[in-house]
Amino acid sequence: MTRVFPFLGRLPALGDVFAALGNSHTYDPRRNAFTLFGLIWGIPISIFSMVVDSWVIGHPHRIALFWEQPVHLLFLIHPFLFGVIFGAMGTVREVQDRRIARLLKDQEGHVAQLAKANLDLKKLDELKIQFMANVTHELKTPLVAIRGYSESILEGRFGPLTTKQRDGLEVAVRNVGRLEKLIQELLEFERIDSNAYRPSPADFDLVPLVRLALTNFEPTLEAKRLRVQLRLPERLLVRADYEGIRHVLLNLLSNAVKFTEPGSSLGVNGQASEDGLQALVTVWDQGPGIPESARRFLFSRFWQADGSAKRKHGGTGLGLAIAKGILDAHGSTLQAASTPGSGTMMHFDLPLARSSGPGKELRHDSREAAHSRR
Amino acid sequence: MTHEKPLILVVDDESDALSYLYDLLHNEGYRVLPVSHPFDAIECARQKKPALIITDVRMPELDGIELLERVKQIAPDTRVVLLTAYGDWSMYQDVLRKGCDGMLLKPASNREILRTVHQALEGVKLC
Repeated sequence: MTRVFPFLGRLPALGDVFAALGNSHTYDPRRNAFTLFGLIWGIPISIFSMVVDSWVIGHPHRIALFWEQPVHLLFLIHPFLFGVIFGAMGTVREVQDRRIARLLKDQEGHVAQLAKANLDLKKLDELKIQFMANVTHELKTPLVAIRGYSESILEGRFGPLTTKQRDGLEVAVRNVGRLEKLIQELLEFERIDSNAYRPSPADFDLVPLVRLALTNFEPTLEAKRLRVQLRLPERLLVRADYEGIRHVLLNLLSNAVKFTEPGSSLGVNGQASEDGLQALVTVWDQGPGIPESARRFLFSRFWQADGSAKRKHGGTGLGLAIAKGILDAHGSTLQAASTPGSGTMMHFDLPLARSSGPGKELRHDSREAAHSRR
Repeated sequence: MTHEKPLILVVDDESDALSYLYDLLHNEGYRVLPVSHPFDAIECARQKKPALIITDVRMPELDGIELLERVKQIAPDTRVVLLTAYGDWSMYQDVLRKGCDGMLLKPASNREILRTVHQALEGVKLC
């Protein structure tokens, strides 16, 4: 009905009108005003009826007409009728307005609640950052004395050591390093997760950085007899946050080194894109690859392909999440391509430094710098 | 020019870390004065004018950065190295501006500590 006559939707429901007619005991300034308005509107009608009477009948108005022809009474009560109807309409308007006001007030309350919740969350986030900073501080502090004294003893500062003592202490020192790395990783992840990480871009050559990052894994590469193949141009000047990209490379290489079976290969490819705007970097390995079902969790925090108690490889499961967070902050992305059983390729791109000139020149220098270890 | 080894003031509210630093530097032949309270460190800096102060950053009442600023006012020739488990390298530029001569992140290795101490005493700022 309201579709055909849209104005009907705006009219008060009949039930509301009757309810308002019955609602006479509450003080309602709006209804009083409407009643007065109705009364005033009703007066011309009764006057009009009297004028018509005089004109049709041809003689002046007589009081006796009201009981001789009662229809005149109907005209006379018009002011009262209008008063009541308008009064009811006024009440309906008042009730509706109150309802709207209440709804608006409720909504304001909800908005205030949401604003407060948001503020609480922000405070909580600040607390979390502070808490993480405190926890890492407290975790690192005891390491100072442990590492320091272990190293001092190992260096023979407190007298000579037997080979067995030396071996034991070396293990202790190595594990302090491991613990320190773990704490650092948690702190780093927290910084990225809470959007506190802002890259400070500078121009630098990616090639020496890749080689430098690889030196961190030399003992493992040696022990696992892994072949490293570098396909890099002579120079690859990019504009990015040096520390951040170093972290990305370390994390990607760490995974590659960790998951590649002994005797297999891994490598880093780098080149300038066709349009000379981007440096394309790929870190690849010949590890077990990532199963199809696991791809969508790959960059999730704490996720590991094998999270079971019997898992073979250690780590926090934060490496890829951190790498992705750093690259995201650079406006880049980290993409994974993997064939289960034959390896994984992690790919990302970075803007080339403007001073590096056209990309073609860089591509021209591209040569295979593959070298194998044993 | 004296042949006496330079005096190093070590400030840390953690007694274990303090005794470790004392042992390490003493073993290297430096004259070392361990202090566990930053206000004592300011007093020592005023009286003894040490060649170098190695200080923790997070300490009750006065943090290492404030200590750095005060020491630079009292004894501008004294070098100051911050050794901290709090924060990261992002604060380095800031403390460098305040006159810091070196920064180490805990837990630093013996080699890193000795190298930084050596460089700070020689007046080489680490970048």
